[in-house]
Amino acid sequence: MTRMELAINKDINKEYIEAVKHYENELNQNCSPSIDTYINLAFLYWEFASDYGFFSHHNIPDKWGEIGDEKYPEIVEMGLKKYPRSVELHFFKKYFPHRHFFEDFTQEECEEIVREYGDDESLVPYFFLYLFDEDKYRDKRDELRKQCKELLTAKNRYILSFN
Amino acid sequence: MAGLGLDLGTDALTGGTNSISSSLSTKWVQSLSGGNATYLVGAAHWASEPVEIIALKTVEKTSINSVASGSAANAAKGVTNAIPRTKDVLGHIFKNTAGHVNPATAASQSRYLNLFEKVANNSKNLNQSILKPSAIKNGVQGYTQTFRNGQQVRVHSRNGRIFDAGVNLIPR
Repeated sequence: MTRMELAINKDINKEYIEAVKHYENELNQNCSPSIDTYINLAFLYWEFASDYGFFSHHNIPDKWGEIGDEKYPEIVEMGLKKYPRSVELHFFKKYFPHRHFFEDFTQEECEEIVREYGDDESLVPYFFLYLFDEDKYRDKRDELRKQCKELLTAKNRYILSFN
Repeated sequence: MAGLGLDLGTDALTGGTNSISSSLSTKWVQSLSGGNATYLVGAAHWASEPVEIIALKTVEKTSINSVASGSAANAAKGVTNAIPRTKDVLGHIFKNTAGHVNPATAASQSRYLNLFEKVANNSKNLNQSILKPSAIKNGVQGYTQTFRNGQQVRVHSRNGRIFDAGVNLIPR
């Protein structure tokens, strides 16, 4: 099993601290980590830092909340250096502080990200856009949900938690 | 699960008993207007509903000088935490995941929204320990209130706008 497979296994099994350690190992030891390494790791760090319900429910130790608080923006930036055209990383760069601090992130801004970077690589922004316009984004959001159900990482579970 | 006796804490409003039955009790200020105040008497039916309204009463303003101190303190400062009724915010509050609630009806959603706003407008419930340093630095405020059933309501707001809220089953 590769480091990345190990990390994803831990993520799916909700062993989130272990998952983070394996994602970090992958980042440190692979000279060309996949985009999912950055995204899944940043997502977990952001959950630790910002989602008190998640943090509390999964008994995440306080120190990991503080580590996550510092690291999720760094990991997003690291990912964007490696994958500067990633629609998902650009989306999360705006979405994370929106949900953590209620920074502005409008439907129009999200649509602009999708226009600029396309949605060939990822449909993730559509779970957010669907909140604003169910009719317009239903098909993309349904397809995204189908994809998420195939691999129940923390990120995908999060997306599936929306009505 | 029923009859867990949430006490939303506005005893000063009536000065009377708030006991509806041996296990159900709560009361909740709904509005203050003109010379009177309307308040609700309800019973808690967790986890599916925060409060089931079972009576409405009106009392004269003179008898309600002592509204819950936290709310009064906030009001004096001109700060009111309110939930923007936008699809974005509501979609993030009502979800099917740990630490959140996902009521099926609009009426039930509305009762939860009232509960969250009430928790966030009582300064006694301010609890920055649920936030990480960057949130505090960015002006986020956290509020929690733990009820007798052990469930903890938590609310996050910034500049008077509530943007996240939920219920934790296992308070830390």
